Order: sequence, then structure tokens, then C-alpha cells
Amino acid sequence: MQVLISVLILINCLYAQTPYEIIRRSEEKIKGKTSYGVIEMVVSTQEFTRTIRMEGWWVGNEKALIEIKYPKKEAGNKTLKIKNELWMYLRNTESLIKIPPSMMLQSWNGSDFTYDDLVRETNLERDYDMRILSSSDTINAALTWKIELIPKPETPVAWAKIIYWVRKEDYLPARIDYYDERGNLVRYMEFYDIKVLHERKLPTRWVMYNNIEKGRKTEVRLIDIKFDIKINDRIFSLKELEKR
Amino acid sequence: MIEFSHSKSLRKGNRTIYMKLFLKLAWRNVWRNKRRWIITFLAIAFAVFLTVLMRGIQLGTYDYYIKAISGSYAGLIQIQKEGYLENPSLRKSFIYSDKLKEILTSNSDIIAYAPRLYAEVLISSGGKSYGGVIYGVDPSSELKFSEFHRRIKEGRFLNPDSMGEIVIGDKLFKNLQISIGDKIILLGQGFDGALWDMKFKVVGRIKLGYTELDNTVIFMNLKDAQEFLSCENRVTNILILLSSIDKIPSVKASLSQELKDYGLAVLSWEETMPEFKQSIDFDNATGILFLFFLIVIVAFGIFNTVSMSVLERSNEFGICLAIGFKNKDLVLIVLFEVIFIALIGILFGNFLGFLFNYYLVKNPINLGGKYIAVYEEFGFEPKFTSSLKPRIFINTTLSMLFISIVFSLFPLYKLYKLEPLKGIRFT
Repeated sequence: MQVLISVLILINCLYAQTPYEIIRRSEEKIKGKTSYGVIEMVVSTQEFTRTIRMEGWWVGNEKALIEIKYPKKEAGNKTLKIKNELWMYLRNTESLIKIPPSMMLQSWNGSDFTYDDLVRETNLERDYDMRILSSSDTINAALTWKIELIPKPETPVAWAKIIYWVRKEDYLPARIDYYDERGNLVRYMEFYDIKVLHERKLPTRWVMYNNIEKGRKTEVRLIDIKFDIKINDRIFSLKELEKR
Repeated sequence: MIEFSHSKSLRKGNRTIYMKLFLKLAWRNVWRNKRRWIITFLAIAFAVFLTVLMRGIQLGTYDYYIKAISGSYAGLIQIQKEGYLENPSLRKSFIYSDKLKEILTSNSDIIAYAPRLYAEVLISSGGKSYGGVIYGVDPSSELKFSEFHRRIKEGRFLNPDSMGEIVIGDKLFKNLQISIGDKIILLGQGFDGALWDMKFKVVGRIKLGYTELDNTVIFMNLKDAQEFLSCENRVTNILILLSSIDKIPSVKASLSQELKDYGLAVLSWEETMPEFKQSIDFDNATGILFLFFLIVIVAFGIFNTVSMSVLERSNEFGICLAIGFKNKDLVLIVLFEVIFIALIGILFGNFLGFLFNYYLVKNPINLGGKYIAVYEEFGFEPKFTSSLKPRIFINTTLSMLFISIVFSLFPLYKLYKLEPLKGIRFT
């Protein structure tokens, strides 16, 4: 029995060595199948620093709802994703706006995240070919796998190359580099402050650095986050958007 | 060997007397065979006339187009925050201060200026939304500056005291399926980074002729735009018109100096509209190439005439050499003949070209018919005008003269190598 278990563990370990599995586990660790969270986003540029607090619900890559809580001016604005449609509810004019697909890669709320990042339209495992570049890189003193992601041919994705560092000890993401078609590093994200929230260990401070406009960055702080909980499907509807 | 002493003694004497003699000889030689030289003269005159006319029309029409286009879209020069050109964004806007207005007003070469605030937004009506570009304009300055108010297809343009009103590009208007008087929603990211939405009333539909703009443009009062995008008193561009296109470099330099401390850059239309500059350059190059061919054809005519006249006079030149003329004296005489005929042709061609150009400058031709399409496409009247810039005449004159001389070199060389007996016995 013990032998069997150890064999299983061994197989499991070997299996986990494929880059696809590493990325999947890593993404799963920070995203879960469903999640609910209270998040604070701090956008810093040379001209201003802006803090936005929001509440969000995510169901896989399919559905997402984000509601702004602070600042007051924007409080009540909501972003809803259903399949590949993105809607915004604007409290000031009490109106619903559909975000055209052409805007999906634009900055969301002035941050260094795009609409696409927010609603997780991109599926790394489905859209990218992966290979491990190095198994001994250290990022912030943690041993990591360095994995290169190149989009599969004919896949309409935002980035021409992604380099993804995953911590070996707990499969948490450590750093992600995003490159454009010309091979320039456009932005990179680092993950800090690993904590246990609701029995789940994950980084609670994610910082996206803008490499084109130096000094610009967006910090995401997870105030509270719950994974794999039951979320009422009803909240992901246009009617509900306008209700509250 | 005894040299002809007369020529030797004369040569030691006053050179100018010789020159006068040669000039006189050349002048008489020209009129000895009138028909040949008149044909050459006509060819040169015609080529010069055509060159001056074509260059005039090209340069004059470019200037007209530059004025027409820059008037509405870029200004002959414009002021931006440094770095805005490479990366246009609301965050690269600047304060439209009274000091700035003072600087602009005090410059006597500036005849008009218009502050603008450009920003990308989302425009939505019903279930439809599209990306759009806000043109925050000051309606009272735009009246003097641009042609926008004349491009309204339906409704009206903004008033100086418009509030909460917008004018939308033709295509965008149709895409949104709205009508005049409807309210639409704009969603934009303000100067502080915050997302903000507001309702606006559509008061007009505008067709500028540029597909890209007609698809996206949203005109609103500058004050509305500043409020909507939370950038009090800020603009992204100031467009400037000058009394003349030739003033661009000097005004640009002086403004650059004055505005450097504000972190502002002064750009000319070439820098803000590089595609337009390129299309002008391309057209210009085509024109020059055509004229180059024309001049080369005329040059062969000159080559022919000079060759013939030298060959025909072999006998005469042989005798001249035999009685003591130096080869180089003969060369000089023939060269004078060429220069005479070229100068007369050039003068005549320039004069004729000047008359035509002058007429076109005073009476520009409006192109009708199929060119109306151009009018539709580019949003300004396709006109045909000319220019009287001195450089047109000077350049044409110099290149014609140069090419006449260069193409006479070969027959002149033959003459230089001519031996007396060979010349005398030439049949």
C-alpha cells in the first residue's frame, strides 16, 4: 500500500513537471473555479495615485461581476461579463453600455490592467504553447520554474510572449512578463505578501508594473477572497445589474 | 614654325577687348543660321515655360491644400505637451493659461489660434456602443479657424454657449442609429484616471470627409469636455494659423524658445501630419521627375544644334585655326552662342510662365466634375492655383543653363581638338 501511494505521488510529481500542469495549478491557486473577493486597486502614475475598492464575483472564465465601492464618484458602477460580452452599468447616467470587443485590451479604469485581464477572457492553457526555460530561477528568494508561453498559431491573444515564473514549493505564481509582437517587455506583474485567506495560501499583493511608462504601476490588494463557493447565477444578468 | 604675330601681340594686350570681340562674333553667329537657333530657342523657352508653370501649380496648390487641411485639423503649427505626439493621452494635456494666450496674441504673425481637447471615449445609445474621439473645441475660435461649421449635414454646429450638446460624425451617427435631439451616453476616463459617464444631447451631424473622423468624431464645447474629463482649464493642443506658410520656421523657433520652460513643444504641420507631408513629397517628386525628362529631351535638342553648327562650320573653323585663332578661342565663341540662346529662351520662358502663374494666382480654377469626389473625400474644395515664389524661377533658370552647357561640352570638346587642315578639308 505504502509503495502504491509513493508510486502515485511519484507519478503525480512527474506529471506535474509538464509546463501545462504547472501553469494550470498556479492559475487554479489564485483563481479557483469560482471566487468572491473584495479588492483594492491602487493606480500610481507620475501625475496621480488613485485607489479603487471593488467587490467581485467570478465563475470560471465564463462569468464575472465587479462592482466599484469606492471612490464615491464611481461607486455603484458595475462591470459584467457573460461569455464573451462585456457590459458596464453606469450609476451616474443609470445606463448600460456594452463594451465593444475592440476595447477589450484597453486600460480598465485607468489601471495597467485591461478589460480582458479583469474578466479573464484569455485561457492560458487553451491559447498558448508552453515550455520550461529553467527550473532554477529565483524570484524574490523563492525557487521557481521559468515557463515560456507562446500563443498557438492563429489564436487571437493580446501578447506575443509571456514568461511565467511559478514557485516550486507551493505552485504560486511569482512573476509574469508580458511581451508584445516586437519583443518588447510591455508590463510585468509580481506577487507579494503570501498569506492564508480562508484556508488558502495565496499572494495578497499583486503589482503590475508598466515597463513602457516607467514609474507607472497598479497594485492589487486582496482584502478578502473566497474560492470555490456557491454563487447565485442570477447575479450575472443585465436585469440584476440595473436593480441595485 | 612662325606664329602669327598679330594674334600674339593682341593676346598680350587687353583681355576685355578680346572678350568683346568674341561676344560680338558669337552674337552674329547666332543670327547667321536663324532657323536652327530659333528652333532651339523655342525648345528652351517652351521647356522653361512648362517647368515654371508646373512647379508653380504644384507648389501653389500644395500651399493651398496645406492651408485648407491644417486649418481644420492641425494648424500650420501647433502647441502640445512634450511627448504628446508619440503617445497622445489626456494625461499629456496642459493648462491653457492666460500667459499662454498673451504669448500667442502678442505674436503678430499669428492670425488665429484654437485650443482643442482631444480624448478617446466610448459612446453609447440603446444597446450600441462605439469608440469615439472627443474634439473639445471653443466654438467662437473655431468660427475664425476651421471649416467645421460649414460641414454640418443635419442640425447645427455648437454655439459659443452650448452646454451638454454634441455634434457627431456622419458615420458614427448612422452606426448609433440615432436622430437629432436624442440623448446619448459618453463614457470616458478623466484626467484623474476616473471613469465617468454623462448624458449629452445630439444637436448636429457633421461630415468632414475623412472616413476615420466621420467614424469617431464627437464635437463638444471645450468647457463641457473639460468638465466631463475632469481637466479644468486644460487642453491637449493649440492649433495656430499664420499669415503665411513661409513664416512657419521663424514663428516655430520663437515660440519654442518662449514655451520651453512650460514643457511645451511647438510642431509644424509636417510633424503632426506626416502622411500628408509624404503624399505631397511623393507628388512633388513625380512632378520633378517629369520635368527632368522634359529638360533632358530639350538638352538633346541643344546637343544636336550645337553639334550641327560646329560640324557645319568645320571648314570655317579650320580656316580660323589656320590664320591663327586658338582652339580655345573658338570654343569660347561657340560657348557664348549657346549661353546667348539659352538665356534668351530662359528669359522668354520665365516671362511667359510668370504671366500664366500670375493669372492663376489671381484667378484660381475650381475643379468641377469628377473632382467633386475629391471635395467629398477630403472636405475641401479642389482648387487649382499657382505660385510666384522666386525659387521656382531661379531654380528653373539655373538648371536649364547648367544642362545647356553640359550638353554642349561634347561638340565643344571636338572643336577644341580640331586641327586646321582636317577642318578645311571637311566635307
